Amino acid sequence: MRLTNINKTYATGELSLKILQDVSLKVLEGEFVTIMGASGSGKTTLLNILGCLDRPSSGNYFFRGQAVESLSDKELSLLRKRDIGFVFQSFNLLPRLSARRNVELPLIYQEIPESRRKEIAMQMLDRVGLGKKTERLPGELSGGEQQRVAIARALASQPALLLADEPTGNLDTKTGTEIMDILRELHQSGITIIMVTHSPEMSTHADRTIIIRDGQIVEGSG
Amino acid sequence: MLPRDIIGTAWQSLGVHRLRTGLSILGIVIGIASFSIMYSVGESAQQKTNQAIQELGADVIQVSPQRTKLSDKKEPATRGETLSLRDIDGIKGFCPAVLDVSPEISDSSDFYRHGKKEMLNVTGILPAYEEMFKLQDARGRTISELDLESGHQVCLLGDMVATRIFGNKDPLGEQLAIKGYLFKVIGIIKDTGLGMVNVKNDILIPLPLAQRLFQSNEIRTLYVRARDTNSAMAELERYFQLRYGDANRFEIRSQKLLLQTQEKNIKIFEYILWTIGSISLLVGGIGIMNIMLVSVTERVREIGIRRALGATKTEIKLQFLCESILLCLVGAIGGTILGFLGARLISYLFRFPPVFSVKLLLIALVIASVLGIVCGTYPAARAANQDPTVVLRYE
Ligand SMILES: Nc1ncnc2c1ncn2[C@@H]1O[C@H](COP(=O)(O)OP(=O)(O)O)[C@@H](O)[C@H]1O
Ligand SMILES: [Mg+2]
Repeated sequence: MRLTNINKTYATGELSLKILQDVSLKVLEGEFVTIMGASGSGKTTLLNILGCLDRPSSGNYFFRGQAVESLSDKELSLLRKRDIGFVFQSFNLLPRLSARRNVELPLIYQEIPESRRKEIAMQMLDRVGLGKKTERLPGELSGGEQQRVAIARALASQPALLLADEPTGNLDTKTGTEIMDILRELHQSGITIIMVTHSPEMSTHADRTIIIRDGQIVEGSG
Repeated sequence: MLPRDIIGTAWQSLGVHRLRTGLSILGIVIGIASFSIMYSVGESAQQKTNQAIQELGADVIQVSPQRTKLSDKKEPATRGETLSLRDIDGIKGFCPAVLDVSPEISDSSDFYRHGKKEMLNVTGILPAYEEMFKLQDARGRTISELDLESGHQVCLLGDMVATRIFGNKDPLGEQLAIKGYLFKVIGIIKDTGLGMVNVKNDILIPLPLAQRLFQSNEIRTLYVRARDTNSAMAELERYFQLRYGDANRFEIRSQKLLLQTQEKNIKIFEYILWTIGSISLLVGGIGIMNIMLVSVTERVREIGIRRALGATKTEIKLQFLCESILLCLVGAIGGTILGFLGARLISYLFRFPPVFSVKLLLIALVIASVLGIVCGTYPAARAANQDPTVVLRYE
């Protein structure tokens, strides 16, 4: 994964805000990278671009050799569902769907038949230690458990890249550590992980830490 | 995304705000209900008219003296304006378009049941009457020329009056007292319910006997069977003009024209329903669009999550479009059910044979789908174009 001279500006009225400036970055397959920086420094914006949810205003982004700027919405969606998994600070589970159905969501968009979907979802929930609570609604689960469901969902399509935006930000230290343990395990099984975090403690597990300040990378661009 | 998953997802979303969903489809329900009632009533009225015309064969024209004094129904307008038996041969001779003429005189007779006085309608007829109105002799026989010639005291009972008088007992062969004379019941009749006369509650006796019983030679009404309605009516008018000097003193009404007037009234009713239906559907459609737009705004995060998990814009669009169509379809089914009940009520009140058809349901579903697409397209496009990055922003 390679980003060169990425700029991202948001136009707010007459003013255009430069959120990312000349960001260049390289992440190798199988790496565990953490991104740190003050609030509002542009970490989430960078993650949106890395996850193909947003396009840079200028610059090039190559994802596994593919130039992302030139892809259509459909091709970007394909990349997201096949190769990228997201874990969010606020879990972002659909509240009306059971844990299992939440995990099945990405598989629906891959047109995997229902029985197979269920099988995969159960397997993934088992893997994050929720094998017994598959039919619970998100509201019936603790924060840590919800984040596990979110991780299971991100893993369901067996992505090459897992993007996590402050995954432990909403959790107490103990549950946060448990989530980190799961992520580390995943990394060991070969998944590339890019994680935004506030706590330096969390980043000790990483291969590399990128520090971003005011939209610019000041350390660790690789 | 597989079609069944699109539909399944859309269906689940509709279940979230049941009350709101229910209210939002009300317009569609009322609109479709109006259309189905309109269709059902229109169709059955049409059927009824066609059936009537077909069963009666040639048209029947009713001639009766105009009544100037509304208060006194028994009294004809003025002397010299009543019809007489001579008019029968007169009309037959004068009007080539007339096939047959049948006179009728009627009066009422007292009848005591459980000590209470009731009234019976007694009508004097000639055999031509039975033929003209296609009276179905449910049981027994009809009044014949022989009965007339021999002065037999016989009568026919309408099926309703028969049960009124005799209850469960078989009336055939029984004697019935009319104005102090005993009549033998020779037949039970039913009318088709289509013609100008309604014999359900009538007692029919031979005309000459009726004249004697009522002590009157006055013919209340003449029924004329016509080869061709328009020329027969013109000829009748000329006849009355020549015979009585003023055709306007007689009311000449054609059964076919009556049916057509009735049909016209039903058409007006149909137009009213059509208007209500169209307006309701329009309002309903706007309601659907509104609720869909609200739904999109409320579900920005859901849309973002789905997009992050790999949904394309097209898939999001389809999901919302499908929700809108499903909403309208549910409305259409509700409307058809309501329309079904409404049509039943109307057919009960106005004695139409009820008409229901699968075609009607299919039409309703097609209308609903089109409406769902029309009203869902814009909200769906808005949903598809939502910025997916909202999911990563912490609320
Ligand atoms: N859609 C947007 N329009 C305008 N400004 C935005 C938008 N999204 C984010 N920003 C701004 O960009 C800056 C960086 O945001 P973000 O990437 O979320 O930072 P971080 O995740 O590091 O806290 C913030 O100042 C934020 O207000
Ligand atoms: Mg952030």
